[in-house]
Amino acid sequence: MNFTLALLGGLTLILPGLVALMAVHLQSGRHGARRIDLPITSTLGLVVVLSVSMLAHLLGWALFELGIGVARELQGRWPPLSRSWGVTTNPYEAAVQLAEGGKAGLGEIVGFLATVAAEAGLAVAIVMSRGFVLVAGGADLGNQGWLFQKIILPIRHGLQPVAYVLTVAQSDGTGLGYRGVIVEARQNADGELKGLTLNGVETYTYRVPARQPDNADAAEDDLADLRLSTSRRRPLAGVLVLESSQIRNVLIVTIPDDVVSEILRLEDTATLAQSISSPLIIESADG
Amino acid sequence: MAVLTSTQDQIRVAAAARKVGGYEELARLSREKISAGRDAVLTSADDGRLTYLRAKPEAA
Repeated sequence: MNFTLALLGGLTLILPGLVALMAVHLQSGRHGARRIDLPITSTLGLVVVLSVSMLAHLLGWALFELGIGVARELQGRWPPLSRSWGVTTNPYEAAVQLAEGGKAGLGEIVGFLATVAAEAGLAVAIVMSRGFVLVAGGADLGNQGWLFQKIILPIRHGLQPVAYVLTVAQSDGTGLGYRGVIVEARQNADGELKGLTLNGVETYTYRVPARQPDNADAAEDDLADLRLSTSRRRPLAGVLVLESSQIRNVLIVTIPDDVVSEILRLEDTATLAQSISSPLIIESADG
Repeated sequence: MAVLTSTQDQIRVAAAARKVGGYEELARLSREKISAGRDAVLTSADDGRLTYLRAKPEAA
């Protein structure tokens, strides 16, 4: 029974850190680049959980001390505080007394549990907020590696990721190539790419140039002339899902969002100019 | 499961790529924009290709 109580007490103490870690995992899941959750037994997980819990408890204890101190000071000067509102002892002190074998009232235990729950809620709210992204934006909390550095971070800075994918070639050296905007990228626990989903896809056929047997010792200049030959690109409607077994390699290019906006705006301007110069518009404007 | 880019962004980037003639051209324009600086102007060259030009400083 004592062991069970100690376990429950320990879990209660690290609850703010645990839910903060859970919020980080939820956020990395939102990025569409899900990896296995950071285990609590890992060094990073343990440090994050304990650090957040200690900070939350320190903040909670300080707030209670401040509140009780202010209430005591104002008790004689502000009539509503002359009545006792129940909270006269810091719940943390009651929890420590309980841990040392002392007795604590039900109100104090409930007060401590409510405080821990409030701290856990605050930790989740902070981790999920945009402010946290600004402060800890460069930290790979989801443990997503290259995917974080080359896709998620650029997206946060207004860049759109486009992938150039070559699929595994057939025995005759030909294969399919795809280019499109990255919708989703999945990794396994080791950070290897499991799959890629693209939208706005262009497809083409490529052929790896065959090396002539008599040219095996070709100089570097000769090899520079060898180029991947590709067919004309054709647009594909819909979303393309590629599994890792089909992918030969991926090149990721990031396009600034303002370049996209300027190009689209130019199209709008051209359309507008065309419509203004059309006879129908001129007639209706005159009429 | 959530996605990395919004559907609206995917449509916008794909539309821009179609407009300029493919993702390769879009990547070229991105590189040009970076090398041409903040005040780069997007113009249409004689052959119809879009290109970024460095903005000329105004005469004093």
